[in-house]
Amino acid sequence: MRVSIRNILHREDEQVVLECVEMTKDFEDIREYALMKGNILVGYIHDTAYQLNLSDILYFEAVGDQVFAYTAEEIYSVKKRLYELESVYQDRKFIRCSKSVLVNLMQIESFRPALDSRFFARMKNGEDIIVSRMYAKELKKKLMEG
Amino acid sequence: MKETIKKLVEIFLICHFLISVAIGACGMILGPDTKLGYGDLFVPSLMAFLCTLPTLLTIQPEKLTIKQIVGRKILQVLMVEAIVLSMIHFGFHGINGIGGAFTVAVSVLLVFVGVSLADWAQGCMEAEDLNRRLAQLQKEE
Repeated sequence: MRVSIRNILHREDEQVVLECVEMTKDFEDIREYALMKGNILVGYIHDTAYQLNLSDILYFEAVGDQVFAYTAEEIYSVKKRLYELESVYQDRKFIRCSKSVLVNLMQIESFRPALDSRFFARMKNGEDIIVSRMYAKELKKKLMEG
Repeated sequence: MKETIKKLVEIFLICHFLISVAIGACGMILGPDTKLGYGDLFVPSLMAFLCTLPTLLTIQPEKLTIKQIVGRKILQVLMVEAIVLSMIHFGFHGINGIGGAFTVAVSVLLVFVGVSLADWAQGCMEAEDLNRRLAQLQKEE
């Protein structure tokens, strides 16, 4: 596969162009990677792919082997592991709040205590997410750092 | 599952250690000449096992509603009451009648409620702090 890079003048014109005879798995991976590096993520409902704006995602949840992205309207399946999403999006205000949930700090409305040293994070869509004891410290640190 | 077992074993060992130290320290002060039989060596293990049982109720899945958490707390306090009362009654023959049992039960309940309230109050303060920082972060963005 040939790779060519062309220098341009303006940052806002930066883009990745894929030229292929057919969309193979390799090209699909490259596309997803490029999208992930920006503010777009590919989510699936059944086999249909959708481009999700990162800021619209409330949280990611791992259920078994699958990871789901929750927006206010829909639940999308994501073909990435939770730890991969965490490492890519940790500087985009996504933080682990329990073993299986990665939450978007910008979509949290408020915190309130649960009865067992944990916290409930009320999301902007009214849903409550549990912040476990272990991750509450990390969360405080992240909030302090800004 | 592996994590849960690890946590339970950890709690059991901590309880075992602390109970052994407590028995040793109290024994040295209160009855330094008391002689113990081989059977008494099992007491720390038995007590540690009983102390570990309420922990089973605190091992929780990720998602619990407030009602479920309260339900678990009630089960937990009932279990603690049963363990404390049976340990005092069968282990030390220290409960005199229903009045004595009631006093112990109320004391345990008060301690449990006190600890839960302190935990709740601390949680409220921490939540307030988190909310303040969250608002600041969202404002900056």
